[in-house]
Amino acid sequence: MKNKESVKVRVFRCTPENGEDTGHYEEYNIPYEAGMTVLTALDYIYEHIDRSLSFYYSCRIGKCLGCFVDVDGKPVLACTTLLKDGMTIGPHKKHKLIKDVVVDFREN
Amino acid sequence: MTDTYKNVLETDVLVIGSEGAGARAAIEVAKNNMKVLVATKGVFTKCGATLTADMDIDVPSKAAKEVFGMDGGNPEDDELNMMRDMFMEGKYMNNEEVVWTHCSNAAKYVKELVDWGMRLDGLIQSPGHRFPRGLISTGRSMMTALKREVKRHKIDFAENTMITNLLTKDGKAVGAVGIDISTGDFLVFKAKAVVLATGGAMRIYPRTTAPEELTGEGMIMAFKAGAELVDMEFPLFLPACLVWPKSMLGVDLSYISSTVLGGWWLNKYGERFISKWDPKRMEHGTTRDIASVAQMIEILEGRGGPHGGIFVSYKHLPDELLDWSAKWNPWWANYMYGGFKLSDYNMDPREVSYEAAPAAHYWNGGIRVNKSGETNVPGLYAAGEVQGGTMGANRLSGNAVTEAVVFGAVAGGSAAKYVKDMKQPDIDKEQVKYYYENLHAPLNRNNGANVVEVRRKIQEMAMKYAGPVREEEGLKILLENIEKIKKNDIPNLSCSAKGKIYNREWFQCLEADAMIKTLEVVARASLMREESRGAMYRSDFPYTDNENWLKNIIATYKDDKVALETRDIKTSRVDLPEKQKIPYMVPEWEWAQKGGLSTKEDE
Repeated sequence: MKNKESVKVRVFRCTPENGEDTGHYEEYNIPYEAGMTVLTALDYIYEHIDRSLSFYYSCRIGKCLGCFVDVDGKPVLACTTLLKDGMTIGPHKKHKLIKDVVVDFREN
Repeated sequence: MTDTYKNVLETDVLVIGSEGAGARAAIEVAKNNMKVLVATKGVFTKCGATLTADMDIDVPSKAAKEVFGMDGGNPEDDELNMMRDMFMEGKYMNNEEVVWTHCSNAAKYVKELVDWGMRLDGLIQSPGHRFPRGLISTGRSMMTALKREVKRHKIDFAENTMITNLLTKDGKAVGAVGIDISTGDFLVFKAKAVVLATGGAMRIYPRTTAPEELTGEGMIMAFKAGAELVDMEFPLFLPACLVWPKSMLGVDLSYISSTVLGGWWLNKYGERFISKWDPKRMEHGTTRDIASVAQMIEILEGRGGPHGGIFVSYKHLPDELLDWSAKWNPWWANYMYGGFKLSDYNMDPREVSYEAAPAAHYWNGGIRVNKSGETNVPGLYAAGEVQGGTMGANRLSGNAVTEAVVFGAVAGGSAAKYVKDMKQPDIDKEQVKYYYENLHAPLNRNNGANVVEVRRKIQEMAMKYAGPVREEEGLKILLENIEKIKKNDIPNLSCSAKGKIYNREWFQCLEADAMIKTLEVVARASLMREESRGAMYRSDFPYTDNENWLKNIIATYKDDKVALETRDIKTSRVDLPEKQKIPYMVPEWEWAQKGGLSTKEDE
């Protein structure tokens, strides 16, 4: 893929406060740059399109293991997964949903 | 306001921050049979700087051999020698009693981690150390060991919890307030003592090796509660961190691999510019302060690459050697870095050079503590990176984790002793009310400043004017801009998203206040220090001035203003250098050994 072409991704959105408990997928167009990851895409959406998007990350280099999301149904780290056109990004299914793609990883 | 006291949590010791220093402090409090609660902005063992360390943990080399059974450990080294090296490379800004606690307790508390299950993979001698002192392990292995102890002591946690302010009563720390990020609930913590273990503030810079959440609230909440900050002009930069691709911004692969393997740092003319600064040690052996300054000057003077970095190249090495290194060099084992497969990112070192630049790495300064981890505010303790005084003007590789574990234990122990037999102190309801309103203001405000833009503005000017290379004019421009942001943007921040559950925009608004205040202290202290030392280089004063500047700069917060004063460095066991001006680029140890500037003719 070339720089500056745009890719489409679908991201799970759910706002528990509004009593909307099932959630839905929203589609976003993201300008592509070489080496973009799922995390940089989420960051792009937050910074440029919709600041109500929630996602969790800490180290962004594959070490804290906090940014697990499901991409096309498979659990991956958002920070080290290359972005591809048409990806579907949802919350990690094994944990309780907090909002959008943030799940409850707390054990304590 | 009706929900102000809906969530009140009471404990003996509140620990803020959950990883290396925080977890260790909590364990020490629990060991002393006091109640402890850990509040952390992220999720335990999924946040903080400790986990990012692929690390060396320093102990005296003698202990590496005798206590940890490492063959390479040298019995000629001891605690005092280690302290001297920390002073030499910390350019004498260190606090002697704090460094002594660090060095003389390192082996004891690191051994404890090993007994709790931390893996050791070997011993290395990092640049600036005269002996091999770095026990090799990983942050993950260390946190797994600490987690086991945390579970054993059944320690209580408040995770996804952002503390914004400390509560004080009669000048003493008596608790804190914040939000539960996952619900948006306001939280009031009542405590007899507070231990801050919140790490540094490297996120005030756009390029950093540090995790997302290190935005400086810990230091600023202590500052506002009356604590002194010290050495704030010395944020440490790690040289040669990636500037490209964006997803790998700040990754230290290119630095570590160039010191381990002998990568070359080249400007756009292909010159190995480090030869101007440290001709003997070159890329392989120079310290991080000098390397960062050297790289930044190449970049600022227009000799960098298209993405604003210098080039790190391994292409002088044969492929066979690189392939062999991918077998033994853990930093790019099988040409992977962490979870990044290098070829996927067009980052295979056999094919390309890397574009890299200094990235904020560690906070040398911080909250001033004494040898027991106490701040000048009764009931308030600080441990780990958030404390100042251990590293002085430059940290040697491997000391950050040692500091976290030693001072976690020390501060936790001091806090436990302090709260014993103490009654639960009252909190000041006026304070709580004031913080409640402040904290909710960005949610209630409409069409104000956009936090994404404000944050970017802060980070960009921090790197431009308060990066590894600074000068008077730039610092004055920076301070003018800081005043504008403090006046126009911070009190006007508003959230476009109004939901309270996991509202990223909301907690970033609260972070922005700490970021700008941290940067202000950095800028004011940098302007005051008219010399170059350790991690701070003033291009208008390009020498280390041991005649006038063997002094710490201490910052206090008075009437919403930053006040600075200087204090002379005092030591009893470490000899201070001669009172004279010396060129910045000369490594202290070489200066001391030779009694003069080394030149090419000496070789």
